[in-house]
Amino acid sequence: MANTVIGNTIVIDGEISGDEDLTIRGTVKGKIALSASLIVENSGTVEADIETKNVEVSGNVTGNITSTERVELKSDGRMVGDIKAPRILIADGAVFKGNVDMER
Amino acid sequence: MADAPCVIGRGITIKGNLSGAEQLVIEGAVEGHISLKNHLTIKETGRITADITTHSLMVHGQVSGNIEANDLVSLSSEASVVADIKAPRVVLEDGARFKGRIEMDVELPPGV
Repeated sequence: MANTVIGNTIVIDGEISGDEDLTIRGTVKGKIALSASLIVENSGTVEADIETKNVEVSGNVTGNITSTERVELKSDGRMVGDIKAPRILIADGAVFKGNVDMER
Repeated sequence: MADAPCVIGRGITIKGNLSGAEQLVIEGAVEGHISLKNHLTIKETGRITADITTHSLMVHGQVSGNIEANDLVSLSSEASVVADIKAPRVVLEDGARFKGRIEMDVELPPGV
């Protein structure tokens, strides 16, 4: 089954919830709650509080991330907000401002 | 990639406003407003409670809300729709369940 992709030109203002993987190439403002993986691609812009299992950020994220497994900030990712997750990776080149909490 | 439509999968629920300019396929649930400048497809598993403004629309699933389209609105035989539809072209297939008003912008012949 094709995963959900929020395309380049799509703007969502509100709340997204679900139990399948989500890829964001467009813009999402509000709140994201997933029991699966979230990928914010290069062109993606997220201004939202995020609750999910895994997050991979290559785009722009403004908001707090709470993850039950893993948060990865890729080298082209830019994020402002707090991250709370058992495993957090920040790649060389990533821009990040906020608190990191790895408490399990 | 640009040609592949954006898909909202069946496990996804969106509450709020959704807008865009590319083709969109909805298999999940959307509550709120949808505003699209392209073709929108609502699959059998799609459940929409929203006002929809779009270029064209194909419904196989459930929609409740008002629909306004610049071109064709088509309700397939699996569709279940409670809405007021305003569009130049509206197609109801045999089997489609529909309740609401349809306005096709017809030019009434003189004297009517």
